[in-house]
Amino acid sequence: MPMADAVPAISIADLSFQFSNNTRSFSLKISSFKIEKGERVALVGPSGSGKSTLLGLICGVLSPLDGSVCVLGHHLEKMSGRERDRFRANTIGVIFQQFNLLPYLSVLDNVVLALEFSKHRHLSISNKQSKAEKLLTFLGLGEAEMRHQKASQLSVGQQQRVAAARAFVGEPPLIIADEPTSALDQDRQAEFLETLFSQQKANDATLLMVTHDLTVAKQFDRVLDLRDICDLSKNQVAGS
Amino acid sequence: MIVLRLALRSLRNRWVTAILTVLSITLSVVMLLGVEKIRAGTKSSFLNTIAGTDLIVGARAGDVQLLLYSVFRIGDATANITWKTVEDIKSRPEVKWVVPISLGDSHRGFRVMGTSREYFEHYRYRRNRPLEFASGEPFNNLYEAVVGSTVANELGYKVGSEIVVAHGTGRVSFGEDHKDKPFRVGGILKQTGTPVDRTVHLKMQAIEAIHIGWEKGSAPRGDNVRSAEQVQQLDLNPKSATALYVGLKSRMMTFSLQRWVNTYKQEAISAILPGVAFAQLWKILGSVELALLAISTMVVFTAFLGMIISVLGSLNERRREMAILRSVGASPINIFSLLLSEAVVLVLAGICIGVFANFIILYFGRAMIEEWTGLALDLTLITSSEAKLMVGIFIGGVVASIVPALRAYKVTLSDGLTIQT
Repeated sequence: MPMADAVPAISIADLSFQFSNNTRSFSLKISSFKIEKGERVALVGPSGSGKSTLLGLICGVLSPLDGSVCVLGHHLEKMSGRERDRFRANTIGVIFQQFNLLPYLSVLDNVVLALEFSKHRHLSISNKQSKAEKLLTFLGLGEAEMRHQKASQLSVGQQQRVAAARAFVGEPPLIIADEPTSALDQDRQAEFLETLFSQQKANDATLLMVTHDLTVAKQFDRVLDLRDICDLSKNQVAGS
Repeated sequence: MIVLRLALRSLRNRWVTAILTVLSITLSVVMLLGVEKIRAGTKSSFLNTIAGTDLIVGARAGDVQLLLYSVFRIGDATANITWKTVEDIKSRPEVKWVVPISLGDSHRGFRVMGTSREYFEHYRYRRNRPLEFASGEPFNNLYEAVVGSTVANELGYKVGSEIVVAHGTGRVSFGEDHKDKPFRVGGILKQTGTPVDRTVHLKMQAIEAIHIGWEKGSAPRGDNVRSAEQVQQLDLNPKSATALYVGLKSRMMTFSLQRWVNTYKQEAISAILPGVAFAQLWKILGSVELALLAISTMVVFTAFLGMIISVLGSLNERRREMAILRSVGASPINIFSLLLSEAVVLVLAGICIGVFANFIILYFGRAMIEEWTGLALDLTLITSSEAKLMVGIFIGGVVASIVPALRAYKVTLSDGLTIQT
């Protein structure tokens, strides 16, 4: 039995991925890289280089053509689609660049949503809600009336914080963020990062975040440039 | 569960489109049910045009033809039956009652029918409903007529109105009529929704009386002219009848009497079972209603097409939503079920509201429909044949819902967490 801490949060080996539709085709090859548990890693690289694709592979919504994607000791490439969905619900919190929330749900329900597909789904509604409320309060979205507002009525900064609350609710050990600060101004950016880091620390989670902003990247334990880890070959047929 | 909850929330968010889609399904369901109700109502009222009569006897002809002229007053008999034959049938042991009818004349486009007083007693429609008088009563004397409700309404007749019978059945009189022997309206029947409504009933003897002197086929002249009063002194017993309604002592005897009639030597006559002949006739008419039903089914499918288009149209703007759901752990099957349940909710709502709306319309409109058309529709929320129709519609709706759901499934599989363009 290996010691729990010896298992890396993410480990990728000999990965190859291919995507094509009628407008373009794209492929990604990574020989190897690892992220240890509890690490904060900033993923950088030019746009279109496959950062989002890599996140998709780690989240298990995309399947590699070959090679292995191992998250917290679980080989995603050996799981069925259904198992990967369940695994993602239980172990990964995701924050997008923008439009993270379902516009027709309240703030509270948007956070609770993350529990509905996970191992926490069997909790009672009030139990789920109290989990979500605790987190919202921690992230400075404490006012009761705001929780019942439609998500679409919030400012962008507020929406991103709700998204963070959803990513962290249920305490998943891995947080994946895809440029979550790029839609925010300087002050909000700093505020958001601070929230993200403190919550990551509190949960003892691993954080992998894509960013374009080098000042943001500098605040991470490690900066990972996609160009350094992959043999990239991109093939634009038409358009972008 | 969570998927259904999300579906309902999402529909509420897009309530204008949702309500319009439900409305179009509702309207098509109301139309389909309306057609089905009218079809069932027409069929049952048609098949029940005449009840209680076991056999109809007339000059030898096809079943449908005999039915057409004896019950619907459409077309003419090839020949009459002599009174000797009528008496022979009357004296058969199986026979309980015989009502003769005599056709051939008309009154302003309505058929005139000679018959006996027993007609008003034995004629039954819609499962044994007897004829009822709105005013007046059966003939008391020779020159009295009983008119159906449509005749009275269209021509504005009341008890006591005077009418003149035209010779022959043409809508336009040949100038030959029986104006020397006018009739008085003695009774008006209540509406039945059967050809009785469009009939002017006279006594058999009255038919004889107005034709005294017409033996050559045209109006009497000179010595042959008899006044209305003079005629009453003559022998007015009927010499013939066009057809007979026959009631039997027992239904079991129907076929033995029918065989006897059909093999009657003295005259070429035949007997029909009204029910059998009606079923034959319905086969011819039924296809019209099948066409109506087919058209309204197509309307329903048009509504479904609208639903597919509206759900498909929203799909592109919802790719973001699908990616969010995937990110929190929803499987492609969950996405498929979400889209499917949204569409199924719309279909189900459309069907339920449609059934209910149809009932409301029927509840308030039934009396009016019966008054205008004579069509009596049953007040039922849903009959078993309608329920079958609705199940069919529901299955069709679910199948239609699969189209956008499958599309969403494919899109979310290739999109994953980022929207691919």
